[in-house]
Amino acid sequence: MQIHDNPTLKAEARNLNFYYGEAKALKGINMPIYDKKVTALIGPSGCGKSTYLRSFNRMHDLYPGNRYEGEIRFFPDNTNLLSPEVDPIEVRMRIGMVFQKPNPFPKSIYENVAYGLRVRGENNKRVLDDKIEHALRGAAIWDEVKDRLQDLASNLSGGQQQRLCIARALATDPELLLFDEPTSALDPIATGAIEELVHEL
Amino acid sequence: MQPMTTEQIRSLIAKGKAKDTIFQALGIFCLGLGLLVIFLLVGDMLLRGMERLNLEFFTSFASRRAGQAGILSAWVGSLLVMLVTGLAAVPLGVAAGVYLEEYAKRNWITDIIEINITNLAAVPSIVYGLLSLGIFVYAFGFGQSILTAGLTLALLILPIVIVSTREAIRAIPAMIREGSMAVGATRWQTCRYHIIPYAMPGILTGVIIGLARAIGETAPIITIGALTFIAFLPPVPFTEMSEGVSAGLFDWVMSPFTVMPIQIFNWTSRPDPAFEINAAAAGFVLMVMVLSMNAIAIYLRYKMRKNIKW
Repeated sequence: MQIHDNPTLKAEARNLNFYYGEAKALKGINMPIYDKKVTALIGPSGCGKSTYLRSFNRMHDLYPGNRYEGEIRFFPDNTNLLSPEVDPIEVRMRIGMVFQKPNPFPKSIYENVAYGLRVRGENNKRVLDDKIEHALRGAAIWDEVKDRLQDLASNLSGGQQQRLCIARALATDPELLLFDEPTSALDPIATGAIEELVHEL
Repeated sequence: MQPMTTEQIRSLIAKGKAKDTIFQALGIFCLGLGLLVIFLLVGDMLLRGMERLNLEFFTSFASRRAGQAGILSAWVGSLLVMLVTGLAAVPLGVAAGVYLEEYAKRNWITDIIEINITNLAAVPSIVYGLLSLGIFVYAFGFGQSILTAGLTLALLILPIVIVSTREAIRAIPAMIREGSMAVGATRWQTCRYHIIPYAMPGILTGVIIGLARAIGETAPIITIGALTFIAFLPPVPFTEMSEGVSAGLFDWVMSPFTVMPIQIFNWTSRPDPAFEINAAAAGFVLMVMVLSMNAIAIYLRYKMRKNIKW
């Protein structure tokens, strides 16, 4: 995409290598990510897009045998996201993620969006209500679910579930939001809606 | 290769279908045989014990006269022992299962622990009885009490609870765990809000299967020295035990007791054939207890799984 008016740097990969055990999956990636911009990664399947993306919120730390080399600098505080001294939970608190397949929790729509806030210790009903409405509006799904917030999220359609997952990620105001092919499991109409949504964000 | 003619295709399908029919018939036969044996066993017990199956049978203590003997102390004892077993085995087993699945690193130590937990499930129950006789009865001084019996059976079913917890957790897709971790949750938050609740139907099933096994155990309970003839109930909390002494909330756990299988064993070993009727009746009651536990397990699993879809 084109970049106008000196955008601020939000994150930067520097000589990033990544290994699944012995297998080297990412080789020397250098790449800037700008604040308030959409940066899109394209490439054939298996080329490492997901692996790269999942390095940003340290998802690889959940599984044994994975290893990072190099740095991902995160601004404005210039933290190295990959440093062993940085707690992956802190990283995930700041960087949200939406996955390839919609993965709502088998709970109510309300609780799905509330979860990120509850994890942060927010239990005040009024604050939760407000933030949940805001997040659902942000994910362009509020009008469809406002009358049935207590329904199970699994009763929603695939496209709605994915927008719910976006709302779940938005609710905690992440500084950076990672999308891992969020429309690959969806039909063209739902895909269009989500692509439009990403532009609006 | 020549393409097959219609006749050849038809004769091929006919051959396949013949095998289908044979296998189906065999399956129905085996299933029927199994069901028949159970029905005969339960039916036989019911028929022989019928005359004793009245309210009095449930509200009378053991007696030297077969016609007056009942299972009051036995069924109360069985229920209380199951209560202690459940309270001890569930938290321990679930915690161990969650730890092994969600926290423990995969290395040779966890591999050895894993193999041994599976092995523990196969240890003969009398060995647990001997173990508890040494540890709970003598070393800890719990005596021949409901507490000792409950803890012994808890050890017995612990592997079942751990294994079913782990299997239930493994059935939860990785993307749910990732979804939780991705918003910044800790491992414990993920377990507390997601893993344990979603694994609950599977855990409960394992717990009840374990309890159903425990309620029928005789050997370890005899080993730790349960009474075979008992004509009193454990003290009910806050009631008067003797002049001016009222029972504490947990006094019942230290009480002597008997359980259903021991009562049955005791009656079958009497020379007077009249006691055999009692044994059959009590056996039927025990079967009903086990079957209703399984029914509860199926109901709970159905009810809880309804809301859990990925």
